[in-house]
Amino acid sequence: MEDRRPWESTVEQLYKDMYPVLHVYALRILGDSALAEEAIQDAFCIVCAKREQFLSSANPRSWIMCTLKHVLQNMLRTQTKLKKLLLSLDMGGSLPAEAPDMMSVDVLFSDVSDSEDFRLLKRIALDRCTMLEISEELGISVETCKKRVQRARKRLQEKINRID
Amino acid sequence: MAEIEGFHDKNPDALAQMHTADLEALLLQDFQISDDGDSDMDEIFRIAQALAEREDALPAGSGAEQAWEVFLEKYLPFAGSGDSLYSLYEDDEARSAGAVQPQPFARAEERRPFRRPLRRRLLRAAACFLAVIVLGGGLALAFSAEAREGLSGWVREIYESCFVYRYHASGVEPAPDPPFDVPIYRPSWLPAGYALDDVPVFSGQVVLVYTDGTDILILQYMPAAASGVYVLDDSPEHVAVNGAHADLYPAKTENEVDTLIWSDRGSGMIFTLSARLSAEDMIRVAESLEAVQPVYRPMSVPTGYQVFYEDDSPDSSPSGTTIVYTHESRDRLTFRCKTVGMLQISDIEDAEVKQVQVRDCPADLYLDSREGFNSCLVWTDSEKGLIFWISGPLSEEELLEMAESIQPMLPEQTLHYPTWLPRGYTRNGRSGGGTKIQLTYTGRDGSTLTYRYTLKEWSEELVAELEEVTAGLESRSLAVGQYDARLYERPNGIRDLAWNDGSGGLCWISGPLSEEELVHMAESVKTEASFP
Repeated sequence: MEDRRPWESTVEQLYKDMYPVLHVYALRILGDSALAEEAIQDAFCIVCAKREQFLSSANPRSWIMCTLKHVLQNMLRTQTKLKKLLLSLDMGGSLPAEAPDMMSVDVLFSDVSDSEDFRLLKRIALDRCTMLEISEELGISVETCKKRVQRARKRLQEKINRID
Repeated sequence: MAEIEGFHDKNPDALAQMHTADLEALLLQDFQISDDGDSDMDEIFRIAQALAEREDALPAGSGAEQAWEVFLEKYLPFAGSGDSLYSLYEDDEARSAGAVQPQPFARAEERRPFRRPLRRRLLRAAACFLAVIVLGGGLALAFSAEAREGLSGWVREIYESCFVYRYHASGVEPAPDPPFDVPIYRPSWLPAGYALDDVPVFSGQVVLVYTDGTDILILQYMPAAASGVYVLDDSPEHVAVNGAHADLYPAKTENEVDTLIWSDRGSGMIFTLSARLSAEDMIRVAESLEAVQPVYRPMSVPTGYQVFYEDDSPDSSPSGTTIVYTHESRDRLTFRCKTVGMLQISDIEDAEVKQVQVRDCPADLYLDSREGFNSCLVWTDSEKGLIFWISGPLSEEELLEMAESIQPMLPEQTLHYPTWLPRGYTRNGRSGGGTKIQLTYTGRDGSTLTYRYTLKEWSEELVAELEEVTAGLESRSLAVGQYDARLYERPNGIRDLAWNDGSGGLCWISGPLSEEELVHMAESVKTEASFP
């Protein structure tokens, strides 16, 4: 049996107690079970990283709920921004009001749609895959996947800036 | 293990009485509206907990063990930075979740009520009074067993710092779905300058938003089976609406508005009116409320037919609706809907009679294929007490398609709507009122078609939306009847057709239609001005 620190047991117990409720909450916001689970994982990563603040808070349950809410806001903002980024690639910055479906995105952006960056962002923004799903497809860690997405986002943003 | 204070320490009985849709609406509403610090996350947790219990998610752990294993293996090793996985835009204005530190929530009695801009605050209140509990926070849900005062079946229960109105009768049926399964009410008197601005759809209740351009008047009503009305106030004045008891909550600051709450014994409805009016005018609006009937109309008629004559005014035709369509070939098509009674059908002696079904209602079809003779379809809806009749030189398929397309409309929606739709489209959504209307239609292939209209005086918002959608797109001119129109084509195949009608109002149709279909639909739009 591995040695465990007291806070780890506390976090584990909270995780298991709260998971069904957190999942219901995240699912109602995101509408996707896998994304909801990833939001919870992300929230608990923050809990662990900021455990001193978390454990000293007067209401740890509210702390977790609040963190999850911010994670959910971040996820939706990121998806929206990435979607706009993809769709603006050959629209000169003006976006159609309704996002074209995935097939038409590929057609619309055929000049870049074979690039790895584009495919990676498309998996996040349009296919609504989780970082975990993509990392498993690519055989990399979740953290590496996040960094790749960050770099892809920056490169495509620069490409758009050059077009503009 | 550290004891987590407050976990599972509240009795969620009050939440347990709410409908699932209301609970979900509260979660979404808090997520969409509240800024950081507005929400009481304990309340949000309890709402999510109530939902989880309904899904039977709690006892089995719902994958918590498996998720924890995934967390340990895939996520925890990379939790070092405290940044969210999705903080991809940490270099711009978006905040990362890790950067936002939850603050401890003040105790209920220490909190001050939030003061927001009037419109936002009113719209929030209109969305659901229940939100006050969640968003305002500080409301203990333990009933304090004080005096109850009745409003015709509704009781006013006193909680720590507010009143809650609940229906207090046994055997209450599940709430019907507004707006058509509950009576439709409209005020017959409003202060000068007020017009219906919006009829947003909320679960379990009807909300009418009126405005005079400066202030907003919000009228809500809900059936007995609704969850209840919560008011964060403890000092109502007792007044009378049509001789019955009512509660008036006067505004306490200039930023607040008065709220009047009353009920109708006959229908079991509870009403709330929030506005910046005198008490006399509040009561006058309340007393002017009248039940009105939806107006039934076919949303699809065969190609080439246009409305020639229509009569649904309660004064001239109290028992129903008559619409006569004409075709350029001079053929005539008639639709009638009336309360069940005598309906004489003539010239059908030589017709072939068939029994068919219209939306599960048995119907009689009289088919006469001879040149110059009409076929006829007749059926009744016993639940609604209505008889429908369509007559014209149509085939069986055309008659049935037209019959299946009949839908109820709110009175104000009948002022402006397309009387012709491309084949396969049915209406599935609506919003708006007397100043603006949006009708949404869905095709058999899942595509969406929208018709929007706004009066000239209120068109600024819709004009801005049109400009945004069509920015950078080529456009060309064409004619919709006597009016000039602009046609835009988006890269994804959606076409937008926009034109100003004779009064300067803006009409806008969007959908994956051909130019011909768009123009045909546009020219079929019925306005009051087009009537003889």
